[in-house]
Amino acid sequence: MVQREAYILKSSDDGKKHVCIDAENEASILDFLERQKGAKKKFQYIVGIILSGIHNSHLYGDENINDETENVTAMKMFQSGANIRLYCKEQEGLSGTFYVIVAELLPKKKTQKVTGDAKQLIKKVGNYEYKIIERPPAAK
Amino acid sequence: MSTKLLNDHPLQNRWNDIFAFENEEAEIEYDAQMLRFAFLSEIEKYQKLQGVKKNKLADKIKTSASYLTQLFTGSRKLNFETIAKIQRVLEIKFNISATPAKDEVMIDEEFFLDLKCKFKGRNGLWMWKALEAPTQELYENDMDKTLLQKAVAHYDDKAIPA
Repeated sequence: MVQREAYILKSSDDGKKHVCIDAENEASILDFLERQKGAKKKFQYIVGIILSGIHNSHLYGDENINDETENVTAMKMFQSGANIRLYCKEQEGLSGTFYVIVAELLPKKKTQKVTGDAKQLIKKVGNYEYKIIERPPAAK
Repeated sequence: MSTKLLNDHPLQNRWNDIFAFENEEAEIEYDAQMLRFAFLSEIEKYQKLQGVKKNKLADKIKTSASYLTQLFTGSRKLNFETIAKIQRVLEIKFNISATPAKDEVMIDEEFFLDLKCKFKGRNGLWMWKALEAPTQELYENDMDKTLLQKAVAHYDDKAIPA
């Protein structure tokens, strides 16, 4: 397993579910959300349904291709017909707290099928193990 | 949902912008879409349980599969007519309930006075505390009794004698 760190972005009202961001890929994912038309709104919706416990496989769901990737999920952004996805890792904390960590961005997925590039990325995320940490202060 | 501000970090500030709404209208639009997604979540659940594919559902409600996809992705707005049609096809019924969004709630004065009458003879300063919302079953069968029992317990603990 590859050890990685993540920060909490948003939490459910009961504090039992959290959406987090991979510390290393944070800036590039932010760039995408800010740049891509409509991405911000779609991301808000997907985060909303995750934290509210609303099921919607058209927007968020499993992306497991084998046993090693069973905790990998995808936020299906569907922007500009390019079928862009944000691959996530679901992790459970010791007290049953649920974390969805936004891990990797797949900029383009031309078909509904899981292509070679996507498979590689899904396997990569399946191998991530996250430590949820507090964001360190900005460097001065 | 609640946002946890970790610190005044430039990247955190960018995330705050991502989650911020431009105005109240945008916030209401978001809330409305979350309500639609809640209905669609139940529809998807029963579609799977009954093995009703999207094409079949679309045919039965006289629309296209791509229109249904657009509803699920939030590109189009689900309306109550479509919900009613899907209810018929899937033979399901939506049960609507509401819970207070905040701990403190305003209650109807008449209801409060009626409740107070049932405690005739117990003097003191009356206080109201929002309790856990009763289940639909309790609400239908025994709401008054349950509320009264909880209110008595609360009265005994908290009421300050006059």
